[in-house]
Amino acid sequence: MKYMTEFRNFAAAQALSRELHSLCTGIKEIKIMEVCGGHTAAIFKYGLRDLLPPNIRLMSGPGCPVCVTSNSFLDYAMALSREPDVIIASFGDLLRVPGSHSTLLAEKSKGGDIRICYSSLDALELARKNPSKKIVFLGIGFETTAPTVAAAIKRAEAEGLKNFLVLSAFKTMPEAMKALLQSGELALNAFICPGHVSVVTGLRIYDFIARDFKTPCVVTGFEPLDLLQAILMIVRQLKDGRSTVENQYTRAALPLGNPAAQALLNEIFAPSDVEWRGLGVIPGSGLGISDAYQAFDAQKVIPLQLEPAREQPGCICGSIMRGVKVPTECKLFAKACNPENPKGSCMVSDEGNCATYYKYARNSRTTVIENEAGTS
Amino acid sequence: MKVLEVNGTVGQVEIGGVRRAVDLSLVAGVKVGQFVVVHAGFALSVTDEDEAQKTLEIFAEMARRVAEADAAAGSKAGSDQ
Amino acid sequence: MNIELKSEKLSPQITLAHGNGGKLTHDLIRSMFVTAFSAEALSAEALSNDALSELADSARLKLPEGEIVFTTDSHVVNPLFFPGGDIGKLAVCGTLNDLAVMGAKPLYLSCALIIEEGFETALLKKIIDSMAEAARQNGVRIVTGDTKVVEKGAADKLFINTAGIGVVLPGAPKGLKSFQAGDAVLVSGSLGDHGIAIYAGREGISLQTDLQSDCACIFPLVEIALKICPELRIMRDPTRGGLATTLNEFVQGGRFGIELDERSLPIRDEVRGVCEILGFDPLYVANEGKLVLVLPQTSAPAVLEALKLHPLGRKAAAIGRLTERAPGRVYLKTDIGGERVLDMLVGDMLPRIC
Repeated sequence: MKYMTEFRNFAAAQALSRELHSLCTGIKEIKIMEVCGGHTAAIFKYGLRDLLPPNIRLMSGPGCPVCVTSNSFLDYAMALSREPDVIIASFGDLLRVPGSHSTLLAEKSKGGDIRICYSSLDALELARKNPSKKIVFLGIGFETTAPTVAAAIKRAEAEGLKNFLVLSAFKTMPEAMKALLQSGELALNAFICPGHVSVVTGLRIYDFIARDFKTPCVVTGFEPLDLLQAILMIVRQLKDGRSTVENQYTRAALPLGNPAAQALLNEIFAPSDVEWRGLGVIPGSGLGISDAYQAFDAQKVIPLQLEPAREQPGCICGSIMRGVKVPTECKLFAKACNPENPKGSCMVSDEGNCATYYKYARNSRTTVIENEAGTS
Repeated sequence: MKVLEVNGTVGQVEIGGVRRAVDLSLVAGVKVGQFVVVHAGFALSVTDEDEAQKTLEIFAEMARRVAEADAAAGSKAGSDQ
Repeated sequence: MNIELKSEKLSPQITLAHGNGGKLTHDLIRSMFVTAFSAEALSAEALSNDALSELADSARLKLPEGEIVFTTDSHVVNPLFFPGGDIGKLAVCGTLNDLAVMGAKPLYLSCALIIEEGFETALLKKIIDSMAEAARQNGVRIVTGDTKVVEKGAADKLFINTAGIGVVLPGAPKGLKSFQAGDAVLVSGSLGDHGIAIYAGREGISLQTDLQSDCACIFPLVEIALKICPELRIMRDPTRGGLATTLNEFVQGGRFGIELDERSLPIRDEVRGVCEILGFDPLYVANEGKLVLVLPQTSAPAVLEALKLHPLGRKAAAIGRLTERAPGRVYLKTDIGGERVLDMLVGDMLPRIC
């Protein structure tokens, strides 16, 4: 498959690995955070850590869309599913995420009308086919997914579809990265920046990180060779004492991003304060539906009063997401909390920190490397 | 994914012989035969094939250098595999 | 097939009365099931099917000498018709495969139907014919059955349970306890075809592929392996949960682990493509006509060559080996030379957002 198989080439991967090993000989530990959940998944899927020198430590950031979705958002979604004439339309992996008391999957088996969608356009189609129902699309994700939902809202407006609503918990990456850097809790040397977010936003959103926090940023794709090359670029920056925003994903991400998608984002959404599971409320890091489009805002059209959300006792998803702790340090990990019965949402999505650890790294060599790196 | 058809803002794309409809409204001007990055039913960018080739050439060059170095180091190193 | 639906007797839809044991039930059984499953409808080898034609509640069977295997499986696939098969073919092949992997030659099947009221009679006939055809091709007889009709909404269209009996052949696998370090792991063909063909065909997925389900009876492959290798360790058909789950079952709690080579796994481009789009892993996707074998390394090349000569085994491959390195674990040497652990499938696969 073009532009996929070539980026999984064994010989090239081994060559990149060797180059990294020779560059890293004798230097102190480098901590690199991959912000995006898609990168986390690829790193584990390909066993990429086995190709890295022991003094490179990869940490997973807050970029798995379902992992950072708050209990309060899920509680609201479940409450909506119990309202008359409401159909909930959701991305598949959100269904297993626990809210305060239940999951959407459990609500579905109790009779809630909850449908899995692949695209906001599927939800729009539901709205056309069910004029007597209100379709609430659960808007989770980052700058990548938000424009696709903005496009659906625009289309609903153009068609005069009044029964298409969005419950928005969209988030933006730079504010979260800033919050992480300012929390002072973690000593990060560099960021692997999300590929698809950058395709939309362009590269300038990371400038302040390189400039003000002296932290190198490299935008990269989702294939293993992309990630290895990005790590190589980061190590070179650190060795040269540079901190700039570099682009490894030149085949897809343009410096200025996708202007059409950005225009849609600006028109439909407005910055808002939003809660990130594990990180709390980060001011200005959300994309709320702007006043001009509030007829499509589920929270405005169907306002509900709910009890305050209840957090899971003992769960350290927050620290894990901030990269302060690794999943194996959690008391619940692989015991009370496992993919079959997830407590924190890091265990829910395939790309969640804990799920990927559970699935790929538990008891394996990778964990050993991680622990060695952590104590050295 | 490779673009097979463009009909206004709707297109057919293909990967590994699997075809699906995608929305092309965010990549105006995309042509049949080009490759696009697709997310949640929308094409978000058109792949720059020259850039892809450049990146792949860097990888090929690195792999070749390693192979040459191994060959030069003689048979004592043995194969990586 | 040359059976006419005796439509004067059957209404276009199945009703509750077709399952109440009265006249309509008898009409349905006689005009559809007995006709399809009876001796005349079966192969030219004239397998007699006296057991069925007596229409008793149970079948009296003659069994050859030796050990028998006995299994049951319920089939609830949605959609009922999919590229490469239907629920009827699946219900026959699935149960035959469960018998075959024990090293047994399948002989007899039962067929129990749970039908949702209002189900189209013509579709039912199509499915029953498909069962008869699959049974005929594989030389087994459907000897007893049951029919229930439930109220609308109490079942999703049609469920089929089949139970099967087979006789154990010489050289049948000795099981997990016969494992030895270095044993080879073979698979008889491409992985994930069934699950992906079904998924892509579902309403609302809007993926178009030419992919067909691999739904087939794998007894011919079992027969080949048994003939060549008298020391087969174990065989299994990796259905729900896919290859990764089956291999985990092999090693769980035992002294050995399994090491797989990602680059040797036979996976079709279409399956890879759908998995890329939906975020699935082909190693966890169901198969319905594939055989996984563990056998001594020394016999592996000969068995592999022989499997490849059979139409069902053309893409057979050696994919890994038993090791003592990580007992109880299945791990994969990835394309790029890394390593990852393959656990059992947990929950349903849900399509991912990115």
